[in-house]
Amino acid sequence: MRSLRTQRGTSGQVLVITSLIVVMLLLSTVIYVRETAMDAPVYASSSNLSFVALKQAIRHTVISALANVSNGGHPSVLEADLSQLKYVVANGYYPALVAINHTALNRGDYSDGFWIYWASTGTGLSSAYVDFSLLSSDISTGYFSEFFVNVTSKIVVTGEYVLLEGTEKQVNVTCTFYNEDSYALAKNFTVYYEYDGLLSPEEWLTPASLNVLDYGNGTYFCSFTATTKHRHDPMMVSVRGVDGRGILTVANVTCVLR
Amino acid sequence: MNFVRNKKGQIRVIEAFFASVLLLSSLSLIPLSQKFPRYSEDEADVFSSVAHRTLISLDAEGQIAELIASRNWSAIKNLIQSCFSAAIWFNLTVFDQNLSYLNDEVICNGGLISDRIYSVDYVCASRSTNYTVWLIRLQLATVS
Repeated sequence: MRSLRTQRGTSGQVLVITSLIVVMLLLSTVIYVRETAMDAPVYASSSNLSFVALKQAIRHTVISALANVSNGGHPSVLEADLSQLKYVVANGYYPALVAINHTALNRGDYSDGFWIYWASTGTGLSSAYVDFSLLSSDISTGYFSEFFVNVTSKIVVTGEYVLLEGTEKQVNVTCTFYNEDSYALAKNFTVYYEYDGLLSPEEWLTPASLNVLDYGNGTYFCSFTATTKHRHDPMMVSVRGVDGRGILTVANVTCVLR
Repeated sequence: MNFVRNKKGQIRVIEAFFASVLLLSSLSLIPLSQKFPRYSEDEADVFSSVAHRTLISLDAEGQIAELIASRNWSAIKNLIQSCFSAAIWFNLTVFDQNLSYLNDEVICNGGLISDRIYSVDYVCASRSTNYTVWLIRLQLATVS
C-alpha cells in the first residue's frame, strides 16, 4: 500500500510537469509563428491611395497629350509631359523612390501611342494608348503595378437631306460623342458642309443658321439649310467636335437623300 | 487499485489542460491591450485616407487643376471647405514644379487649434493642352 501511494503521487507530478512542457511547446510554437509572420513580406492587393492619386495624374497627363496632338501638336509632347510629371514625383512627392516607366503603343493603328482616325464614313476617333509600370520602394515597403491608360474620344455622325427650291437643301445631322465607348457631352462642336460635294478643292462652308437640339446624353441633332453649287451635288457634312476633356475629333459624312 | 490510480491521473490531466487553456486565453488578450497605444497611428491613417480621397474625387475631372491654372484660390478654398465639417481644420498649399509656393492667398478655414497636424501630398496634373504639374499639400487637423 505504501509503495502504491508513492507511485500515485509521483505519477500526478509527472503529469503536471508533462502538461507544463506541452504548454511551453504550444506557446513557443505560437511565438515562433507570430515572429515568422512578422518578418515575412506581406503581399497586399489593396490599392494604396497615394498611388491611386499618382495614376490619376498619369491619366490626366495622357489626356493632355491627346488633346494637344488632336489639336495639331506633335506626338513627342507625350514624352515631354511625362518627363515633367516624373520630375515632380522624383523631387518633391514621395519620401520613397518612385520609378515610372512607360511605353507608348506602336502596334496596329497606333503610332507613338496615338491613333487619329478622322474618316469620311461618319466616324472620327482620337485615341492614345500607353503602358505604364510603377515601382516604389522604401525601407519597409515596396509597391509595383503595371497598368495601361487608354483615352479614346469618338464621334459618330449620320445625316440626311431633302431638296428644297433651286440649290437649297434641308439637312439634318445627328452627332453622338463617346469617351471610352461611353456617351459623353461635347464641350463645343462646329458643323460644316461642302459647297460642291467634292473634296478637291475643299470648300467647307458654315451653315447660315444652325439649330441644335441637345438630348443631354451626348447626342445632338442639328438642322440647317445649305446652298450648294449645283442642285444635285452630294451633301457632305463635316463635324469638328471637342469633348469635355478638350480632345478634338473630326468626322465627315455624305448625307443620304431622303 | 490500479483503476483508482488511473482515474486520479485523468483528473490531473484535465486540470493541466484547463490550466493551459487559461494560460493561452490570457495570452490572446495581450494583443488587444497593445492596440490602445497605436490609436494615433490609426488616426493618421484615417486623416491620410480622407485627404487623399477628397483630393482624388475633386480632381477626377481635372477641376482642381483648372482652378489652379486660373489662380482661383477662393474657389479652391470653398471647394475644400465644402468637403469637410467645421470640426476639421485644413490648410492647402500649392507648389509649382520647383517646389515654390504658388498660392499668394492662404487657403485655410481658420486658425489652428490642435497641435497634431496630418499632411498629405498630391500630384495634380492638368488635362489642358497647356500641360502643367503642381504639387498640392493638404494639412488636416481636428478642432478640439
